[in-house]
Amino acid sequence: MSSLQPTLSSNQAPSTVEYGGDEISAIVLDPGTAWIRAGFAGEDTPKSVIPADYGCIEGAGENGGRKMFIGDNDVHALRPGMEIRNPMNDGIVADWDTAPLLWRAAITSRLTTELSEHPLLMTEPSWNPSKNRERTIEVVFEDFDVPAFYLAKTGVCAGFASGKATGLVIDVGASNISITPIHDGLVLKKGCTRSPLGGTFLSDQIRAYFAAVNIPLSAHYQVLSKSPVEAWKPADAVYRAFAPGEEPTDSYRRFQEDRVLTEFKECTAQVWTGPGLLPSTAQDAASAMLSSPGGRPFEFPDGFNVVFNTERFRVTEGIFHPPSMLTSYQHHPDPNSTLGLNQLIHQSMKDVDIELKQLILNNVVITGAGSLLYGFTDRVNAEIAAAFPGPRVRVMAAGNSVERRYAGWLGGSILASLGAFHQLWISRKEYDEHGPNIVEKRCK
Amino acid sequence: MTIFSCIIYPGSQTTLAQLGLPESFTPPKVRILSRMFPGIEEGTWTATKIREAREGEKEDLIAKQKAAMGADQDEDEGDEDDDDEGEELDEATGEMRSTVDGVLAKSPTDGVADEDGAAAAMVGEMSVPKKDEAPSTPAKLRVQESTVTEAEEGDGEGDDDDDEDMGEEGVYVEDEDDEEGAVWCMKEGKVVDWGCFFALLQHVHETINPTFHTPILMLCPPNFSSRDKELLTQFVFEKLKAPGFAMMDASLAVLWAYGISTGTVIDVGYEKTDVTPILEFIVQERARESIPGWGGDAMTRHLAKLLPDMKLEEVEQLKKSSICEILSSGSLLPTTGSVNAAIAAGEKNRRTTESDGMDLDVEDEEGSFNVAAIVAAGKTHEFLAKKEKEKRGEFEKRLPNRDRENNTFWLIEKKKPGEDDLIIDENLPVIATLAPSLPLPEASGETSVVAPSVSVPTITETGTEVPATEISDAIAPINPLVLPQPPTAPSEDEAARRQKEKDKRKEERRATAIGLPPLAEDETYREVEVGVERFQAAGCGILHALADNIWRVMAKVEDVSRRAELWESLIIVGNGSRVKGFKESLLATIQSKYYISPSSGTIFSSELPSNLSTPMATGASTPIPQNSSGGPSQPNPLLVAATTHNSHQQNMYNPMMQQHNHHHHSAHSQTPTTIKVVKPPEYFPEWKDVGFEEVGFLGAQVAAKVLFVVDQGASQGFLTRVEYNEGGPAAIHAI
Repeated sequence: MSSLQPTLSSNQAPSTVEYGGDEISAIVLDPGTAWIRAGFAGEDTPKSVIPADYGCIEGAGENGGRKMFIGDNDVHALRPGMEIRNPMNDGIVADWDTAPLLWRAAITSRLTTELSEHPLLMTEPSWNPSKNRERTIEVVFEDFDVPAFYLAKTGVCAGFASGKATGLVIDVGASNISITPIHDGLVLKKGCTRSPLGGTFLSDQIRAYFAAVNIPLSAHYQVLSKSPVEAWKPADAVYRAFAPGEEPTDSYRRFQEDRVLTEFKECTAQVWTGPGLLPSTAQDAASAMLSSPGGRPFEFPDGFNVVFNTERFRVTEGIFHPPSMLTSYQHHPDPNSTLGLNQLIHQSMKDVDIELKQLILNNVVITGAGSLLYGFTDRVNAEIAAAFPGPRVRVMAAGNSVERRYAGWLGGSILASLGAFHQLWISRKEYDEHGPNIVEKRCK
Repeated sequence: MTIFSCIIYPGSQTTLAQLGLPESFTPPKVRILSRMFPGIEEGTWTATKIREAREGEKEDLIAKQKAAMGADQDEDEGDEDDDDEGEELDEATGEMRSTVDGVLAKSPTDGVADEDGAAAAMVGEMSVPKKDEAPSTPAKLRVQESTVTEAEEGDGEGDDDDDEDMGEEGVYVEDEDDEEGAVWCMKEGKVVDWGCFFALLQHVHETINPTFHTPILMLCPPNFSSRDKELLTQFVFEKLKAPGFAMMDASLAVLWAYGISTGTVIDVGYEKTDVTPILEFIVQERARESIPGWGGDAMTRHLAKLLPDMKLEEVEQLKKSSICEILSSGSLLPTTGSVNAAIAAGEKNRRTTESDGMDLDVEDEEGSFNVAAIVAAGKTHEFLAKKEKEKRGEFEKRLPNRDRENNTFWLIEKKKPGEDDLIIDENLPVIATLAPSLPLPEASGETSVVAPSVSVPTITETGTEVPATEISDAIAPINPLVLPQPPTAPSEDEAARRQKEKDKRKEERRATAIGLPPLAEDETYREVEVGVERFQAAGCGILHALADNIWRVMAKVEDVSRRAELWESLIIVGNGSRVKGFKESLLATIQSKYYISPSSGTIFSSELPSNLSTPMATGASTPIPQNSSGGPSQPNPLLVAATTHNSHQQNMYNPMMQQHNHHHHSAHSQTPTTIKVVKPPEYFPEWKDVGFEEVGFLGAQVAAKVLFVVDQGASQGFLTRVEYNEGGPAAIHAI
């Protein structure tokens, strides 16, 4: 018995009206410092997210070149001599030999191998220099051979993702925190500010803190099995033994430790939200303890575990108050000249027209995975309310962590699937006519 | 009532398919190996290998074919399918045909057995006289004309049956045993050869032979890209002419089968393992991983490395046998010492001396694989050692597998062509006995050959030593139901041959007596003994690799608060996980490496009371205090609550913001604090027998029923032809 399509008899082939349409969806690529996100326009989340970090072994590839390991599976695998690198610097591409390979991998791994069939929309930070933008369009047309291309600002896209064409986008990324005021879908260039106090900074702070109080940071690959131990007691674990010459590189160890730090950020670290300022002395801390939310335990891969009290607030404080950052490691930002988040907002708003100010402050959007730090939005909210008192200041952050993480991508996805967007694509023909400089004219 | 729908589940090794949904959901009816052979013409594919007839075969075949054609002309008429045709011609050629039942009973992994089985069933009534003797030709051969190949472009409406053309052009034979040149169209869950893959689908489709109004549900491996899905959709509508088509993620199907909405599916496949976290039926696309290189095959290869004397197929069978087991990480491999201890317990009961000994010892101390094979040479030593062994062997037999040092399994083998003239090896099971050198003073005789991680089989017969043949063998002393073998000396003479025949039959009878499946005519059973290597399938590091990957996948799930749920609902499926003890060991590995034990620090911290002072009424955030089997002691629920429940502090600035925080930080803490495996559903009796490794297929049946029958497209659960005509292949993404 068939309940389906009763008009079709079983011995008659269905008509073969074959499909001939060419509705091809665009690909949206949002390359960040930590992750590269790619997916089809019109979908609500990126299908493919690969780490921007890649592994490479010099001399192991063809003709003595370097052999690259891209994607989660490969980059985390334990290989002697594999260095972990990242092609980005301050949110923009620094290594043009590698970045396009990663982009391509992000698209081909889960989406499609036919790059030439789909228009490509990419995002860029608002401080991307024009040399880089031209390089980007060159790569996508010459190397990827895409039929059409557009370069959109991350800030604008993140605004779109929250349904705002006008507002102030606070994006907490891996490499930095950036503030982008947007109006009618255009970036107000004057008001763009940023500071290098993003997720990487936070990881460094936590690492420095661990070092300062002699907490041994281990990584999962070092441990074969662990046994429960009491807090602050030395770990009781079986460690992986490496033959001489087989040890992973320092950069690999650091990369793997960063994953543990990420877990710490997700589960233990917290932003101080008051009351009052974060207690700075032990005495203050003791008194603040009474009203504080108490300790949170964290277990390291080797089983070593500690309960963190005010320390877990202190490591994040540098984001808002740079002078309180830990400076016991190299390459830390200057605690005195770096702007904290509230100062950044302040500076950004200073350069915005007075008429627009109210409109923009009414739509403060917080995005970026770094903003998922426990208590982060509350703190930003408090800082803004204190700096700009008034009933019309409104801060919004998507409650859904997926939306917060991929806001830039999602905005791109929305943009590229809009009917009105079709006229904005830079087609291959236009590129051939005008050269890479067209990106400056068309992608504002 | 049977509901018409057709389910196809392609995999790297085996493709499962079934037509119709019986009242109770059953395991897949059709299993086909996922490989095709390039046809004679470029771009065409066949299900079995077709090659040009070899010298000598050719004339023979043509003659037979001609004869057959006349006889079978009538019977051929009704048949449309070229497979059947091949089959019938084969039947007609009589002598080359092995028994129909035998083919049907062959194990699913064995060549094209199933496809044959299906075809053979149709022509089964023809009652071709069976031949008892083994075929004298090198392999089963089937004749097929060159023009009838299963073309990729074939439109499935039946090929012409031009029997008359036969034999005029080149003569080609279908050679079932020849695996050479086979193209496996999927590798690591990805289609590597689309032409071949489509040909396979076509072949599957023809095998199950659905009507035109049968919609198709296909389970797709997670590695399929959007483009792959579009290609498939196009193929299904334009070549298979299906009226309706739906695709379902294979991992999601597992969840359907289990009847739960949230879980982590760990699908251990042939050359890869997929780890897929699913929240409320939503596959976490970004977190999911497909781990290439770690699957059942990795274990086979590792075993093969440990047992260099066994062929890969033999190792594969060993892996599938019940004696291959992965012991939990803590337990030591059984050594002579442990076996002795176990034997000592039962010592008073029995004392027998029988059977044959072995001279080969492999040392294994405290888990570290330190192998030394010691061959005793001196006559007295040998005798004593044998005595000792026999005693031990007898007791050892009664121990459970995991306490025994050696164990045996039945190996199914293809007979070799012309085997009758050779020494038949089924009477001479391989012994690769492993025992530590220390505990047996008698055995540590004068000569000791040290061969690290190699077990060297030697040959012994009762009393007499036999020179090594090309099949290096010795008599196995151990089989629960088996009496010791009568000695068989290699000889060419008639008496010995008859003896062998007898023995062989006896052996087969024994095999069937202990519940082994019957064999095809060209297969034999051989009893093989294996040492402690059988416990080391996971020595390749698969457990650690998978544990690391599972943790990583979990860490990539964006919603931190849901990770705990995912850890609590692990589902391990896939045929790679069939190895005994695999699931338990994998769990134990995760447990020992990633389990977060409740911190002792919070017990003493003074702020615990204040911490509990503002509990929110969100039941979801309290971890369910359940524990995985055999895990550490249960955490104190109060303690867990204290450590996971961050009290929700007052937000003095903007109460509106609080709403968000309650939602996504409610169970904000490190995971996993509990690791659990979901119990398989109990209401599918047919599945209980075969195991739940392929449970995705069950899920697909449930889904097919829901999509095609219950729902009937009301909520756009599948793509209809009309929709396809409008939207094209990309329309599949809207489903």
